[in-house]
This record gives sequence, structure tokens and C-alpha cells, in this order.
Amino acid sequence: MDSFLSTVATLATLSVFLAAFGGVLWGILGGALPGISPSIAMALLLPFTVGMDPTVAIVLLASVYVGAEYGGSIPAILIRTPGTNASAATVIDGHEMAKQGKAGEALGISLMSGLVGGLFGLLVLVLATEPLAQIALAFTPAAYFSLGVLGLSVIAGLSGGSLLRGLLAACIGLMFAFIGTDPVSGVSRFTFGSPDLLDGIKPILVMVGLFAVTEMLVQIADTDTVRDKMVSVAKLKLPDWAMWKRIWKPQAIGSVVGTVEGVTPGAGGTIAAFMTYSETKRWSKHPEEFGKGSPEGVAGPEAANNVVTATALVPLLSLGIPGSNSAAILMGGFLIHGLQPGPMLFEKAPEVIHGLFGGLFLANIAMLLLGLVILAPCIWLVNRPKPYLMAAILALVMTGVYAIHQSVLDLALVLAVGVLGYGMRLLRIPVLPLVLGLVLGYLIESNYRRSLLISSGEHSIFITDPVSAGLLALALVLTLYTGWKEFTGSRKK
Amino acid sequence: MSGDTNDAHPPHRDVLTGVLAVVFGWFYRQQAHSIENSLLSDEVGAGGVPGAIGAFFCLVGLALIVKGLWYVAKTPAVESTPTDWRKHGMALSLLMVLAFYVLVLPVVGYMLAVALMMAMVSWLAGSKQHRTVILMAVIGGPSLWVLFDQVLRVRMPAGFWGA
Repeated sequence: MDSFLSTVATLATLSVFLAAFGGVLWGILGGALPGISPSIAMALLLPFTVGMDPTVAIVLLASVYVGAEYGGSIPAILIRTPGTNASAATVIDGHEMAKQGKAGEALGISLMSGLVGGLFGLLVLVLATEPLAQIALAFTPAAYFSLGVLGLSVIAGLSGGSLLRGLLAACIGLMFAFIGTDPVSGVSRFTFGSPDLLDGIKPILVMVGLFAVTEMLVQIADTDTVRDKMVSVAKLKLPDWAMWKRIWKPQAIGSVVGTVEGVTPGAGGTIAAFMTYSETKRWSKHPEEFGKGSPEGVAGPEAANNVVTATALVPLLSLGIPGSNSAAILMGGFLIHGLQPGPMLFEKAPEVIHGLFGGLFLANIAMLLLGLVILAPCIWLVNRPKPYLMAAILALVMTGVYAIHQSVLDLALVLAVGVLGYGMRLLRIPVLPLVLGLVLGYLIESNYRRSLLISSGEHSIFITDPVSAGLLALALVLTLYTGWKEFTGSRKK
Repeated sequence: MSGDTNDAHPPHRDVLTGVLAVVFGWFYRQQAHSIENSLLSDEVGAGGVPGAIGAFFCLVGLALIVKGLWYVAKTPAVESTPTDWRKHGMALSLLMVLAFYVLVLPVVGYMLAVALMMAMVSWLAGSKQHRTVILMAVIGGPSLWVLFDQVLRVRMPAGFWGA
């Protein structure tokens, strides 16, 4: 009861209120700009938190995280450019809806699904931090490998009807992931002698190239482009009752997947969003609409990546393990104020924890209110004449890409990936499995090899570890189920 | 991209994709196996997993070739739509503009480079209003510089202006 009252008291504090709203606004701006990731948006504010009250500082940083994860979906829907890694799955149906003149509807669904996901994640964080932390502890390298395999098992669902092409794309994604320093021996691989590639290629660079640059190349190639139809009638439209009845299930799937992926250090919102997309399609009554502008394809991933903004804090608060870059920055915020995240934090500084819970609630409300204000001008902006819109998008994208490392090589890389994406479109190779392979490549390879080091080369470790065995079994079931569904579907056709 | 070659006859595209995959997969596999291992290396080695992926890439490519040839043999040939090279030419032109931006960015500085790029892209995309194009470039370049360099503190290249 005391903790509840303490949390409610936080909500009435003006400084926390301002931190939540200011943080979300900054986060939405950062998330919407390609190249400014949630962690960068948070890191930019970190120095300013030094003199602040610890609760206000932590709420400010957490609110930036909430805002940035939501903000990434705005360019994903409107200009086919994911602002963050986690919003890449939203591109698929969100932008298709925009092309059909339903940009306002897609943004409304994204906003409300983000709110549902954010509040659900907060509920999980408040009620189940301690038991869920045990899940994170149960993950061995073998289990992480199997988690990656489970992620890859959704390729069939993302392949647009051609599994072979989907597999090719996933392999290309894995090849991108192998560029850089070998995770076990430290040898450089496929860097062609460039020190800039030793750290590997950031997934956001590949995504911006694949989605934004490729889209611009296609747009300029198509004189009768559909963007001209993208449209003066597109006003922000929040889901009505009929739409809610359609999107609650994807939101529920996203909430469950996001919770599991969030509490698992290293998994994160991107994997959660893609797995949710695939599962939503699998359980949908209208799977044929996916990839062609399905509202469910927007609702599920958006709920999932916003759940993760809260559940990713579970291992940080309970075990002191930052499971993502953003969580690491938040941990920095705790440390600056002399607070060590971990089991003792609940005893030593309960007021900060309760303040964080209250602040996250405020941040989600702020996301809704600010979203309503911001989205209308965003829609107006993308309805400008095509030549100027294209110029502005490319200027923003190229600037954002440069901002990541201040590297000209990154710009060249993004152009090369854009050409690759253009070629893939010509050859009808789907790009989503590529993104999945890219995101999962490091997780799979590093944990595969670590497991073999632990077991002295015995592959049985993947079966004897109960969590790993369970995940592999689940991956097998999902693959067989999808294969069977595809097979029966093609026979019916 | 409705005018691409073989739109009406996807099996040919399967064969083409398969051949490309086999060639690239083989090359990638060779590159993976040429990676030298350090003393810290494990049993799998730095090139082990990439090599396996390269081999798998080849196999998938082979499967696509077989599938394509099988369909070609089974279905009657359909006259393919001629490729619209003008469209690909437009895409190539845009790519050249972006490559130009990448090349001149360190030399002329961010503000001028991005303004030039915006002007060239909008002209290429069909803008006929020269005054609007110039106005957008003049306003857009400095605005983006203020946002990224001054507000977000991302140091953008100054080029010869900074010398």
C-alpha cells in the first residue's frame, strides 16, 4: 500500500510530470529521425541529468526511451524509413496502408497499440519483476542460441509465399551479421582491411538502405508512382470499435511476445516485433492481407516493441543486467546518482523505483497526448508535392545516417544496400527475412560457439539444456505448422 | 516496377536468381574458408559458420534453378514484357546524385552538399519550379545543419569552410 501511495504521489509532482512529457517529446523527435536511436537520444540528455533529483533524472531518461520507440514508427509508416530497429516490422503493412490513403488510420493504430503495449509492459514491470528475473537467469548460451533459431523459424511466414527466396534473403542477412570482429577469437572477417568495419555493420544502416533508399530508387523509377495518391484525405484516425475488435488479438500477441523478449537480455524489441508480426499473421483470420496493408500487421509489432520499453527494465532493476543499449544508458543514469541497479535497489531507494513506475505511466499518457498533436502535421508534411518530399526525405535520411558514426563510409554502405534492395525487388526476393537474419546473426553464432566451448564440442548441449530444448521444440512445431499451412493453402489454390 | 523483364514468366527469374546465388555463395564460402584463425580460436573457427551459410546459400540457389527449369519445362512459354530501361536509368541517375553527395560532403561541407543534393533530387523528380527548388535548398540545408549540428550536437563536416 505504501508503495502504491508513493507511486501516486510521484504522479502529482510537477518536476516528474515535466520530465515525463519533455522526455517523451525529445524521444519522439529522436526516434523519428533515422540515425538517432533511442540510446543516442537518451545519451544526449545524460549529461544534463547530473544535477537533477535522481527520480526526475531516471523518469526523464525512461521517458525518452518510451518516446523514441514510439517515434520510430512515424517515418516507418509515412516514408518507409524505420526510425529505430524495432520499427522495421511496422514498415511492412504501415507503409502499405499509407500508400492506400490510410496513413492516418495506420498512425492511429500504431499510437493506440503503442499505448496498450506500454501500459501492459508497465503492469508486468510493477507486478512481476522478481519472478520474471528468474527467466533471465535461466538463459544459458545454449538457450540463447535456441532463442535465435526460434526467431529464424518465422522466416517462412515472412517470405511472401516463396520459402526458397526467403531463405536466400535470411542468408544475406546472416552474411551482413558476420562482418566485423569474430565474437570468439577476435579475428576480423569480411572487413576488407577497413578498421571502420571491425565493429560490424549497424542493423539500422542496412534497414535504412533496404527500406528508404530502395524505396526512393523505386519511386523515381516509377513515374506513375502511387505516392501521389498518398493523400490529401489522410487525416489522423483513431481506431473505432470495429477496428478495436480486429486489433486486440495482435496487441495481445505482441504483449506476450514483447514480455518474454523484453525480460531476456539481448533479445530486444526488434526480434519481438518480427516474431509478433509472424505470429499475428499465423493466427489471423485474414493472413492474405498481410504485406498489403493489414491493420493487424501494424498493431501487433507496435504493441510488442512498446511492451519491451518497460519489460527490458526487468533484468536491469532486479539483477543489474542492462539487456540493451538503452537499458545500459539508463543504468548510467542510476550510477551517476550513486544508485546501483540490482536486488538491493528496491530496499535502498524505493522512492526512485516507485517514481520510475509512476513516471513510466505518465510517459505513456504523454505519448498519447503528444502523438495526437504531432501526427497531424506529420501527415501534412508527407502530402507535399513528390519532388520536394523526396528531396527532404533523402536529405533527412542521409544526414541521419552520417550522424550515427560521423562516417562517410556509412553513407556509401547505405547506398550499396539500397542498390542491393533494388536488385532484390527486381528478383522478387523478400527483404524481411534479411532483416531477421541480420538481427539474429550475432546472437546465433556467438552463442552456438560458446555453447560448444562449454560442452567441449558436444552438440547434445542444445537438447540437454531444458530451456534450449523447449525453445528448439517450439521452433520445430512453428516451422512444421507454417509449412503445413502453406502446403495446404497452395493445394487449395 | 511493373515493367520488369520476365514479369509474366517467373521461372526464368528463378533460374537467374539461382545462378546468381550459386556463384555468390561459392565465392563467399571460399572467402570464409580463407579467414585465418588465431590462437584463441575454437573448434568451429572464425570462418566455420560463415562457410556453412555460404554452402547453404549455394544449395538454395541450386534448388531455385531446379524449380525454375522444372516450371519452364512444364508450362508453355509466355512472351515476356520488355524491360523499361528508362525507369532503371532514372534510378541510376538518383543513385549518381546520392553518390555525388557522398563524394563532395567532406570537401564542400555539410550545408552546401545537402543543399545541392536537395536541389538535384527535386529537379530529377520532376519539379519544374526552379524558384521553389532553389528556395527549398537554401532553407533546407541550413535548417538541417542547425537541427543536427547545433541542437543535437552531431558534428557535421565543415569542408573547406572550416579550414
